[in-house]
Amino acid sequence: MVKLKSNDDKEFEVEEAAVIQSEMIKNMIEDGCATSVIPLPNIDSKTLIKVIEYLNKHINMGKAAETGEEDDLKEFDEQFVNMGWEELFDVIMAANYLNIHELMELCCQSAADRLKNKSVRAVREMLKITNDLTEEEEQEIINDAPWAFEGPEIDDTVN
Amino acid sequence: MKPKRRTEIVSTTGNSHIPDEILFDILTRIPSVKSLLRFRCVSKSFCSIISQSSFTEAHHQKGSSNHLVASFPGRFTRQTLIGNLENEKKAHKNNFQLGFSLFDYLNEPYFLKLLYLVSLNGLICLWNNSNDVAVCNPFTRQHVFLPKVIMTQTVVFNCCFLGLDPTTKKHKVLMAQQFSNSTPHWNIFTLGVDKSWREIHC
Repeated sequence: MVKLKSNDDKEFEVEEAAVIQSEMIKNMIEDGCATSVIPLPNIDSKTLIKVIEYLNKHINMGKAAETGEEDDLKEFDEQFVNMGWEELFDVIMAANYLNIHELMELCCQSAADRLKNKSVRAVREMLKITNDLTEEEEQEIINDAPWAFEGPEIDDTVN
Repeated sequence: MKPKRRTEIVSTTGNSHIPDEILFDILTRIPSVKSLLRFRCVSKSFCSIISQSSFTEAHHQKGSSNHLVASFPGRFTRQTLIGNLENEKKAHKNNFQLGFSLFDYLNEPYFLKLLYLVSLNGLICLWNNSNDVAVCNPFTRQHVFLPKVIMTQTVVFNCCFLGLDPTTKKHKVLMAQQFSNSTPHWNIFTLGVDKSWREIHC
């Protein structure tokens, strides 16, 4: 078992087979740096619980193909990314920090699916981005492909 | 209910708290080129991420949309290609992400005089037997007409080929001109580099 500690000082025990899906922790274990608790100063307990849930489910990924549990895993993944937008980004940042490739792929794809067809305004609001383009620069981009800024599929809602 | 976030924004650089490399990864997963062209308007960093050539390449590798046009080898007339695309569109359903009618696009007035086309990597090269050659990207709706090849004889027919130089990542158009009384003449034009055709001898 490997002990992980979130930035709000909560400890979690995870099976080594599950936790080594994180390249970062795998390297720490291989280098002998994981003898006691591994502190994760960038991850809060709420996010860490989600990550551990994913790691535990994906523990036998290789076996899933043989035992026909692939559909089960697919269903789990679909349910897993069904979370709030902010939460999704917390998991993305955690997966990036822990270097969990598959989790990163899953969550980035979900983020992309949600951003697709959004309006410029909606994207700015969803990602908390301040527009730093001048009016002229903005107009130049619009003039370059005005058709990309109109259409019934463009979604101005933020969710 | 989500709280209004406008007042919480402290960034003055236009960068959110999300690192550019993560944003890059997410954006390459958006199949709709139309959305990406629009998202260049989000901020300076969005614009620079989406405009860089490594982005186009990564997007191309991940997406299935661009393979649509690329999956037509050989020479087509405009009408056959459009017919084929309609079939392909049905087969791929959601992957067809042009967001507008390719038929309408290829029937724009400036393309009407061009009768034949080939495609590669989502680019389309159109030409006719009067030495008019254009290359367009239907995904971004950009097009360029290539300069005319200087002719000394009457062309019986022209045939163009699109190629990609994997080392320079530049696309090239190869044009074969068949004259009535001699072997074909070959000319090559590197997109974004050449100002005029270069004759090559095969």
